Amino acid sequence: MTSCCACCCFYPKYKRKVDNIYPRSYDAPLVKNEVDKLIYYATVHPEKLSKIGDYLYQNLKWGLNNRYKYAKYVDNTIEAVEKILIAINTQNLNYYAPNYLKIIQKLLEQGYGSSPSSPNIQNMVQTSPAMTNAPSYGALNHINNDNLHYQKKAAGLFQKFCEKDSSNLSNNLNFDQFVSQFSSMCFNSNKDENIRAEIRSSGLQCLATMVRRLVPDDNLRASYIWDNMDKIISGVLYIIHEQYLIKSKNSRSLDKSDYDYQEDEEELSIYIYGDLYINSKLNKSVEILSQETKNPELKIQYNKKSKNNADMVDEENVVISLNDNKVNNNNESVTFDPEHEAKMLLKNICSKADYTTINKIVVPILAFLDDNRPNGWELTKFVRCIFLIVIYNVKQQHAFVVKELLKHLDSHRNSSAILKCQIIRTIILCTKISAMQSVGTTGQIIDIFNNLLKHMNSSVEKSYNLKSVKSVSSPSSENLNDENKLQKEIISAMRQFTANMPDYAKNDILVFFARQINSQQFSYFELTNNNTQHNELELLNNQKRSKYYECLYEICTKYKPSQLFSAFGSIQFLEDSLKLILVNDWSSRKKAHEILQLLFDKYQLIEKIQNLKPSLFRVVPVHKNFKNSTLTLNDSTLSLNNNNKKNEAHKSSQLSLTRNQTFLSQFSLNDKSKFSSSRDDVMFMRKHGRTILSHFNEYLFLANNRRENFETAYITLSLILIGLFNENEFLVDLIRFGFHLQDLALLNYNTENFSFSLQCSIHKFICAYFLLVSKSSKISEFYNYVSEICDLRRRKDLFKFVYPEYILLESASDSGVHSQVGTFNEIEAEIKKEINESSKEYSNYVSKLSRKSDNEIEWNLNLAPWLFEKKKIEEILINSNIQLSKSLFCTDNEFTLSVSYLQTVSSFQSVLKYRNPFSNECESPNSNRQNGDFIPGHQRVYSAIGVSPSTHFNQTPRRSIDADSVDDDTSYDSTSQISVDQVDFDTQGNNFFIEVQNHDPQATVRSINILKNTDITSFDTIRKVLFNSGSNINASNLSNSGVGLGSSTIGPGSSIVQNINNFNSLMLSNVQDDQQDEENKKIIIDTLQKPFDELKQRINQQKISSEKYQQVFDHVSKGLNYSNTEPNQDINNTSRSNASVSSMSTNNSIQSNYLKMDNLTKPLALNDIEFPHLFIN
Amino acid sequence: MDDYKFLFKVVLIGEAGVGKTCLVRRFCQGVFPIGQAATIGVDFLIKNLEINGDKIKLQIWDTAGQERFRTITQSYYRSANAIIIVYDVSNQPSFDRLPEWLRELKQHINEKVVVILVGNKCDLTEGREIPYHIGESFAQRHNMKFIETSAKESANVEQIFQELSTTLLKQANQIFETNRKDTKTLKNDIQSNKIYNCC
Repeated sequence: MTSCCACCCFYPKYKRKVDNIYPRSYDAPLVKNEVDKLIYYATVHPEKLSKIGDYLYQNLKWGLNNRYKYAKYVDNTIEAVEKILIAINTQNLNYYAPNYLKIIQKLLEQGYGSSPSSPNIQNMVQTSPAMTNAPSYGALNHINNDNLHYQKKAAGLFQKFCEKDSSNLSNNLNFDQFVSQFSSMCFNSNKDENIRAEIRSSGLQCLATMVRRLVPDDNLRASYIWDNMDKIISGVLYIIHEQYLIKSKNSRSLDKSDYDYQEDEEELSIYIYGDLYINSKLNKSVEILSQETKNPELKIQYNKKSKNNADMVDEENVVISLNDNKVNNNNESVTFDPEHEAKMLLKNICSKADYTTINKIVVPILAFLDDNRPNGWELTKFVRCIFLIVIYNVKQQHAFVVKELLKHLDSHRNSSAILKCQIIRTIILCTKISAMQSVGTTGQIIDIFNNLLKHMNSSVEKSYNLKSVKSVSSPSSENLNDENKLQKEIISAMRQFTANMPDYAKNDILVFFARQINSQQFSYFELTNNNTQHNELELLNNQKRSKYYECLYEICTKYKPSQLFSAFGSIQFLEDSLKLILVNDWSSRKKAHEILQLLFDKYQLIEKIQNLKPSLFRVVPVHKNFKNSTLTLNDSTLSLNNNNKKNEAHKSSQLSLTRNQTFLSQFSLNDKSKFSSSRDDVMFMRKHGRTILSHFNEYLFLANNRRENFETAYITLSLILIGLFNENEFLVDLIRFGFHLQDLALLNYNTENFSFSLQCSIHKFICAYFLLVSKSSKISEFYNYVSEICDLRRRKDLFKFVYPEYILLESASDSGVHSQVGTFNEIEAEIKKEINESSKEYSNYVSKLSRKSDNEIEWNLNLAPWLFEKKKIEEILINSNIQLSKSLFCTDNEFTLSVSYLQTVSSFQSVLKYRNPFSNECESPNSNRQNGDFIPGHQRVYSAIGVSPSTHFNQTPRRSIDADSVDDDTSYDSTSQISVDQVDFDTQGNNFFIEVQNHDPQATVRSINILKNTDITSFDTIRKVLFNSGSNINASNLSNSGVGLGSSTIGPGSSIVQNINNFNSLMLSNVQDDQQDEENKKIIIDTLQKPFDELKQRINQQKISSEKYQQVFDHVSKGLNYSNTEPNQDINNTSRSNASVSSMSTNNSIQSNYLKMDNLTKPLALNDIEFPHLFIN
Repeated sequence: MDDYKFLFKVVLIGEAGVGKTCLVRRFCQGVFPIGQAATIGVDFLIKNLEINGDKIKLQIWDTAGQERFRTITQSYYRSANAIIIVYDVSNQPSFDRLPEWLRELKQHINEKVVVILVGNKCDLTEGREIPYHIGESFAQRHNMKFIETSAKESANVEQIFQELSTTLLKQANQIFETNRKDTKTLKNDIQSNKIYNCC
């Protein structure tokens, strides 16, 4: 101690202590003794630590400057620095930390990042440019290692530092720099794969230690990490991505294949958790080795890829380095696995994130995926892996991740469909995993759905445009496929969402959806006079609607019908969902019924019922053995399916009596005992039963119904009856509903477009309906009576066409036409005759039947023993002690939709549309039209009740349905709303007046002349009139006002047509001047006649008979199932000629129908001629 | 005892292949790397300079120009003191993309950041596509300094950084001065301990 006193003035003690630790020779290791002494000194005098640190730093700097000579000196210094750090007390860390960090910084700066060369060597290369690069790289690698060596050391030091307890570390220390530097280490692109992996993983490890130190609440202190999170994330992703690129190259074909939903989730979670945690390293090293030995070429490819755009790629060199790697890999591959570390880091980061910081993770991920265009989102496995890690580790924040993804989806509005698909898949993945967790509030969920719907909309529009362009070029068709794919994805995303939602949210979603669908039909882009444009919009809307229905259907599949009443709790939803079945498009209507079936199917009956349904569209080979093999169907069913065998057709008719019995007993009587309806059910049905029935009433009379429509309607109705309506309390109502249908069908017998076939179908439906009701009523007399009438219908030739199982074919085969397949023209003529006769006969016949008294309709039952007789049934009911709340004879309008229903544009439109003579769906060319005496559309008037030519309709304004607002239950704003209180169709004269009256004092009454050459029947016109009136009525208001159409005393939906008819006829009759007469005639011809003529011409051009021949031929040979063709689609398209044929004429289509039936395929057009085959078994 | 007075972060941006890495290498290490591979992500280098007696340290972030690293690059120039935008005088597209770069920059940096436009590869006289005056006028329009360099021939490389550093230094000194005026310097405790601790 004394000796030191002499020098202390010149040389401080700490310096001497530090100096002593270095050995004499620069190559030797540290002097252990002296190091211990230094540490002891440092712990005793912690205040000296800063000086010691500083001195060591100076030493290091000197050493680094001369590192080529004193490399060991530097290493020794670093070792000493580290040892001191480990030894000192955490309380004294603040003295030491600044210098320690400086040392780390210095060391990091030595590395020069990814420098492939050290200066002096590079100089050498430069001075001798003639020298090839190949050997020089090999030499460089070695020296370069030194520089990188220091980086590694720095990383090690930093980790040590982080591992120390840092609870009272001062806040001044700046880690900001380190974060960016360590993340830039992730991008190290050293040519030596091994070193690259080493540097990268050391960078990752440093980041990981930093992240580990994060305290979730202490965001202020850790802000440096979260601020630089994008750097970290992109570094991490880059490393993982690189690995996946290699993998995807190895199995390119696999990756390109379609994404498989059923791909094992378990397998992936094992991959993430099991593999990663347990023995990943071992597995991976084996994997890597095997890969390398197998595919050295692929490795080369990868290496090339990694230095993309390199000016010179020296393959030879790569191969050499590859070989080196192999050798090294055997030793070291276990140590450095940056991919694994990156995944772990990502996992750690995610587990630290809370709702404020989660987007700092997700946003860079999304940006990264966007940037790597060809290999970003498209590399599904990578995306999957990343988001699996994120979702599994983000705690309670799933909703935020999903929200970010949706936001991202929005920003990709104009991107390709494939990309959107990928994003949606990711969303699906996320929601799948987050099943157990909260998905968010109801508002958020509805937001999500709204968002997805928007995308659905735009996608449908896009695909529609693509279709209409009709370019045969491959890219557009590819795009079309993509769009379709996207739509599927959206639908499945919705399904996934609903599957994960709590029950209350499901209800909300259903309600929201039903509302959306009904309001979406306003989505006209613009108003146009152009008729074709109008049709296009109509088509587009139809497409959208069908997609919406699909969505709703998917949602409903996840919905448990036992919760029925919570969903139907809001009366609005019941109405909305019932409205779904009243749309223009028959296939949508069918879908709507499927939705309803899901909703009403309380006892899971749907499967049973559908099993009862014979497989109609399958061409069943006629083998007797085969018949036995079909489970639910008895022989007769099959024989009907194979109608071309005459004998069997006969057999079927013989068996029909038993058929009735079997079908009903199969689920009515046997199962009924199980379904004792609860009190809730009864209450519900008491309240809403009639609403439901009246919707069915409206539905059945839609002109473009097909056989499927009746079938599905029957299934739905039977579900409701069995599940909910099975109390005898409702029996009277049900019977009255049946009679109501019957009356309506008979009264409208001579209305145009209410075709013979449609009438038959309805009668068939009624028959089946009564069978069902009587069976479920358990009154044997009633049932006997009904089955008597069924038998009657079956037996007598004249009544055949109202028997459920009757199809025209039977009569045809009886008459022997079928056996001689002569020329098709012959057959056509034959059938035409027959149908004409029968329909004429029928209408004559029906006209004799009717007779009306004041409020009752009675039928001359002597002439029509096949009708159900009210008196008889009433007697039966009274005999069996059923209380009749109302007489069966009473015909009020309880099963008619009230006006408020017609106010909605959906029904309004459908009423208009399917009666529109221009629509190609349901018209029959009629000789009347050529004379100019033209009645547009299908008239279905309750003729018993008179309609005054000009009717005033007084409506109370309903509240506004804002098409845009999501939650319009609360958006009731009566003051701002212009209510079209009274709309007056003044049909006197040429002007089409619409009076708009407002409750407000500023209200103005306007009358507008509508453009004469517009299609008056179109909804657009009316809407336009309203728009032009200057009042800011929007579409939704229009819907509420209902435009004053419909009247409670008129048959369903007929009033508007009635009005327009009146208008037309008045236009003809009321014209005074000759000039105007001329003009009007012209107008009428222009507007009404021309399109019709055009249509006729077109039909002629198509050469009906030959085409039909062809079609029939096709069907014979292929047994084609053409259920895909939709009548709405373009008439010109030859592939859809079916549709156009169907629109030509009733008679023609019935012929074709007949011909098809011969061949056991689904009938071509007007399928509604047949009754549901459901009843066949 | 710090070995520098100020630390400045400089970020180089520009299209892929305009010679950013070469420029930095030439400046920091005095070499022209032949066959330089495309940069991945970012790379960083250090250069110590002494200007007007003030020691400064330049921390140069060399970013990747490729499209796929765009967001990564963005995250780095957020904290920069100076930005060097590089284009290739023999490559018209790299010049055409400049406005886009500037737009992107404006989203991430504040006004204080010094921006310099550099036309690299001016040694390629034959393949030149962008004349000097066009680059200059573009720079003037956007209030940037302009310089043409050649990393290969080491022309003007030093000047970029000299220029940059002087501007930065001026800025920094101003701030430094104002800060010093505002704050009252406390005596450094550790310094004062020295006397007692000596022996």
